[in-house]
Amino acid sequence: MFALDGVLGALNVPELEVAKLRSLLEGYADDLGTDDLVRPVPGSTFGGSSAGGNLGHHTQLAQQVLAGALKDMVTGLRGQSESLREFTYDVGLRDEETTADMTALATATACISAPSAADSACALPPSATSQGSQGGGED
Amino acid sequence: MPSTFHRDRLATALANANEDQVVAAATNWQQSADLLLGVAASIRNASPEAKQLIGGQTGPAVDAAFTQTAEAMELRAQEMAKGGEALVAASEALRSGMTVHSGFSQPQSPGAQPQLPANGTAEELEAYGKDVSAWSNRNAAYEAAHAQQEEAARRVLQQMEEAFAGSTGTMKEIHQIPDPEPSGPGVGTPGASGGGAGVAGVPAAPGQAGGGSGGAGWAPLSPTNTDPGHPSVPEVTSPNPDQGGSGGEPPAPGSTGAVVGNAPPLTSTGLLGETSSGVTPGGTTSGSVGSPSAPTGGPTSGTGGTGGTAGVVGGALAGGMFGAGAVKGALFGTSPSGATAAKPIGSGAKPAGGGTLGKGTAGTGTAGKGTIGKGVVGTSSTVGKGTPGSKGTGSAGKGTTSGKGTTSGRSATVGKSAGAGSTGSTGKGSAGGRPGTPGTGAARGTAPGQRGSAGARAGAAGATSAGTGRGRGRDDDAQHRDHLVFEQDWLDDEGTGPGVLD
Repeated sequence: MFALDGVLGALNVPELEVAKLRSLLEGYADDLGTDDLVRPVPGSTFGGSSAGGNLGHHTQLAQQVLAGALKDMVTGLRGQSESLREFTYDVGLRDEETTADMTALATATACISAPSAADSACALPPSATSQGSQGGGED
Repeated sequence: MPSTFHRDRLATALANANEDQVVAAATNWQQSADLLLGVAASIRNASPEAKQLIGGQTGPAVDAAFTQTAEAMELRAQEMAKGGEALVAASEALRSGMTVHSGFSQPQSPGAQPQLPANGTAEELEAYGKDVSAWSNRNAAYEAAHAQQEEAARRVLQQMEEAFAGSTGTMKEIHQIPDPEPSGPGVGTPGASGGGAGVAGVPAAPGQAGGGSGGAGWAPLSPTNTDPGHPSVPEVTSPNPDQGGSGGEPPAPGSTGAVVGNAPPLTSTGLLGETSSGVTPGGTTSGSVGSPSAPTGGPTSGTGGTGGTAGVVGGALAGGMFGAGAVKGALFGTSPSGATAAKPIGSGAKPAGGGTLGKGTAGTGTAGKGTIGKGVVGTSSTVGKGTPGSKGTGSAGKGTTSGKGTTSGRSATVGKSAGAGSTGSTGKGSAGGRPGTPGTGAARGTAPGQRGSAGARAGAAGATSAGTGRGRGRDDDAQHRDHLVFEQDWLDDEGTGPGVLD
């Protein structure tokens, strides 16, 4: 399985480091996802004047906007973590596909690299051999 | 009684205020901003490492995403921090207001004014002089203390409003929700609805009808406040000397009442040479006071006393006591609430004959704060008695005029109207009438109204406009307010008030 190891090395994706990165993002999302941030301010807190009521009203609007932004940030952080997870998954999937490719390559190579003609054997389908011959002829 | 207007405003402004809650919120917002900045810094630091670790095309993409994330978080953190600072400013303003408010105390009363001893000896008179001098000093200190507190309240209120306005601007920058376009009548339109009218008992010199003033009523401190969902918080319901005036505040003595209406004021000269202005509102003015066809009494003049201009006309005035913003409604004979116009005696339409009782009723209407009462008109040779049960935020005033009959025979008319004020002091106005010669007509009017002028003026104005005036025209409100703004500059002169009123 030397070929598989080579492929993983070429991808150069340390899964452990990515997992740590995802953990950080999840932690940030947890930190920002609490209800304790940018707490609402009751409108009456500023007193009974018109200016106070006005301030209370706009403070509530601002708090809602900021809280909404925080909520979006939490969603985004979790989304980034999920993206990294999917990326890692895709890399793993590609590794599996690559392993299959490498197996085929080894099989093909085995067709060629028998120690003696008596030992020659090919597991590849005849069509493949035929196609390979045709291709070589064309070249 | 010294004004407590600004102190009342301050008390209202601090009602339900919770400075600690604002401080806690400010701290929370600041801490939230700090936390967000910390996360942003962590992500920014991790970004190059992620790029390096992941590599390929994905690595730079992750780096860009993380950098973008960190920048956005830093911006949000800045907004949170600004919001926190705005809350801090508001809390400081609230604290200042509370500190000033808690420092208020009731100034020591000067006590009752010494009374001049009747038939006093020289010693008694001398002692009286000393007592008066001492009382004057105490009273001056008393009023100065009130004035000082009023000024302190006004200043801290201004500071609070400025701080709140600044913080509101910051919050608006954060939420960036535009104020919707105002629709319909604006917020804080004058409480000018209501009406009612004075009642004319006898003919009167039109010049005796003082112009009603005010009508602007309460307006919010922030006139541009049209935000949806934000309940307007009434500031103070008491007359506001700084804002637009109201029917409850008397004009300066001898001053011309504000013109609230479309037509120019009527002006004539009273018996004592005073010139006062009547008001011709935009509505029809049938049944005006002092119609020449009135059979009773002659030209009747009167002057207001210390309470203001000659406000009472021949006993014909229903004391229209208005709360804030009611004057305009009164000037327009018919109020939206269904006030009906008075038909004063002696009007061209229905002249009352001698020996009969003419009767007219003033409309009843609801003013901004007070209600206009109704009155009954007295006629010649009889006694008419007006009972305008009006009340408002003003105080009682009294005006008396006497007139001289110009026709032979004897006719006497007593019209009487009364409006009860709820607060304030009492002003009296009187003018001695000359006895009639061939025939004597006497018109006597008593209109307890606000400080002798506001009620009388309003009543007069109502009587003058007792026809089918308009209750309220929204289209005219702006114009009316413009008039009021111009006419009521005197109201800002706080030093004038106590001296006049007391």
